[in-house]
Amino acid sequence: MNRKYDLQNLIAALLSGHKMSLETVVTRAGLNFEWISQALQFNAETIYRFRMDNNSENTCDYLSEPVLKHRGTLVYSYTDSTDFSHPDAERRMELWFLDDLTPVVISAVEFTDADNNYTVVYRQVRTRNLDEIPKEINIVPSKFVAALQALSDAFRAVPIPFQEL
Amino acid sequence: MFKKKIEVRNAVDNLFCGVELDPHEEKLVKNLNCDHLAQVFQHRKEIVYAYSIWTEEASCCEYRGEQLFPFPATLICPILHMISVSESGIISERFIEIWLTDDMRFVLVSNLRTDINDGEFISAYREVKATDLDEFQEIIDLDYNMLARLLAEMADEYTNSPMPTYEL
Repeated sequence: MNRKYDLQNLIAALLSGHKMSLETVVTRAGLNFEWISQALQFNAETIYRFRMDNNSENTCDYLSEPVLKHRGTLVYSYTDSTDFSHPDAERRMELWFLDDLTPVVISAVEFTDADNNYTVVYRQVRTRNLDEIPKEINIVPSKFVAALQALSDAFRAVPIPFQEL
Repeated sequence: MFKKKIEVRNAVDNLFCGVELDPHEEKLVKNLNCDHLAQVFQHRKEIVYAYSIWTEEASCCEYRGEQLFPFPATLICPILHMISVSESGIISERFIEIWLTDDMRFVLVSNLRTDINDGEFISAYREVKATDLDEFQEIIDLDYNMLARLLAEMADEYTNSPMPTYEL
């Protein structure tokens, strides 16, 4: 059950540069690290460098090589709209927690054609170094905590099996 | 010029090493003008990105990902492997491409290219499949006679089409 404490330490480290301390977060949002650990494990997916999801008939999807060996769960993302502006495309920074509870910041460029259920997304690792994470992604504490809360809620809302971590 | 010519000659010889060509194509490879080929490679070379987006809109919407090779490279030959067209006209194609990098190594690359609304949005995702010539044949059934003719045509471009002469 060390995983729960590792997660707690990781979140504390990511919030260390902000006024909102881990204690405040836990008190205000009532985060349950056990549930978040479970949700992270359950939601983990292979992160592909490029994928094309095409829901039209008679077309194919595409999955490239994975970006990383580990699977991961998307925890938080931040979009700077001044950075890259297109009605159907966006560039965002994503914070993923990998299987081994290491954080990684990934840049994602996504194009969506809503009429045709067509999406392409390209992902590239920006950093896996904890110290560099604040330089790569703007972690807004309230939104970050809300994202963690959503993970925790998801664990409670749907029948996710309890996993031995 | 002399050094580059030898490098090109060596690269070409490596590409066709152990391959049995038809007599005409064998002669083409033997008589390739590697000076001219070096000029064409120089003229055509480009930075190759793992992912690129081109749009018809402002340039701020375009995107270039990380570089696929540490050197610029010349596309020698794209081979269409798969094509899929949706009812709304989104074209997805997968090519296997042969690139020659600036340090004279051939690289086999896959390219997943999508084209929406006839060039309104084009994206290309590339990944390296093989860097060892021996592995090329395991991935794609290469037509070496076609490659020989292609290289001969490329060399002719130097005299047949308007392009500058590079100091190599």
